[in-house]
Amino acid sequence: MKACRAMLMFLVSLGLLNGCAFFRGHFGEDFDSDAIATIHKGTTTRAEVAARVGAPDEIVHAADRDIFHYRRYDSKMGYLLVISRFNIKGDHLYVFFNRDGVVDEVIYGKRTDRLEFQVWPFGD
Amino acid sequence: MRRGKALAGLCVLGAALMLTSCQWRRLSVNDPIRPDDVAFIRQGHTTLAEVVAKLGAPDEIAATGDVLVARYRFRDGKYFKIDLGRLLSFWSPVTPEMSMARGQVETDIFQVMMNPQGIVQEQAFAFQSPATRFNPWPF
Repeated sequence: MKACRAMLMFLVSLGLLNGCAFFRGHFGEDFDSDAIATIHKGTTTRAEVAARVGAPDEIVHAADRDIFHYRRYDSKMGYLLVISRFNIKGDHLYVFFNRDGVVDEVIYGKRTDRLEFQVWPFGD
Repeated sequence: MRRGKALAGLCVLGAALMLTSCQWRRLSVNDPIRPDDVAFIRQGHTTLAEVVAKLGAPDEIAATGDVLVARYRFRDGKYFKIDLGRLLSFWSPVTPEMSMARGQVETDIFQVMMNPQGIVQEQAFAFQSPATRFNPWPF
């Protein structure tokens, strides 16, 4: 009887694994925190930012100054038989320059480190 | 007693079979921002740096004239499908699709408008969509 139950559990586990999948997708390169740390307000120039972090994904011209916008997205999906959950989060880096092309402000936010594989679609 | 057990077993089996014909899917893009999360913002006082410290970097910064606009986007989608045709797959060589499905995506934007000094002048949610729910009824 015990062997029969163990076999049944094993088969159910196999069945669940059979209907189980995990997917991961990236868009853009991960930010180099060390490179971002070398950007200093009032001293680092536009060319130095481009050399250290790379060319921005977008340049916004706002209130007589340029803003370099770098972005990256990460996604994780968990799938189990009849339920699945797909989570996407984005990281953004903004570097503001003054009229002389020197860094005025740096805004950096990382959300992807809180991205999780989830299967349960209910609740928050 | 035996008949009761058999009936209960059949009910469990029926429920399990029914479950295999359902699909629940969920899509989340960024964490939602609720009005309580932005209660700290005071127009004319709060700076962009303070907003970023609490909410993280925005998804977009745009400009209209001298006004800077920071926008946070977030979405929550729910999809539910029930395919009664799958029940036939256990004893029929053909499995016709007899399905009903419905997907809903709640999308919202929280935007903060600032002066050139980065001081918040206005804030607003773009939509305030109603909460989504799993519902297969498409009509």
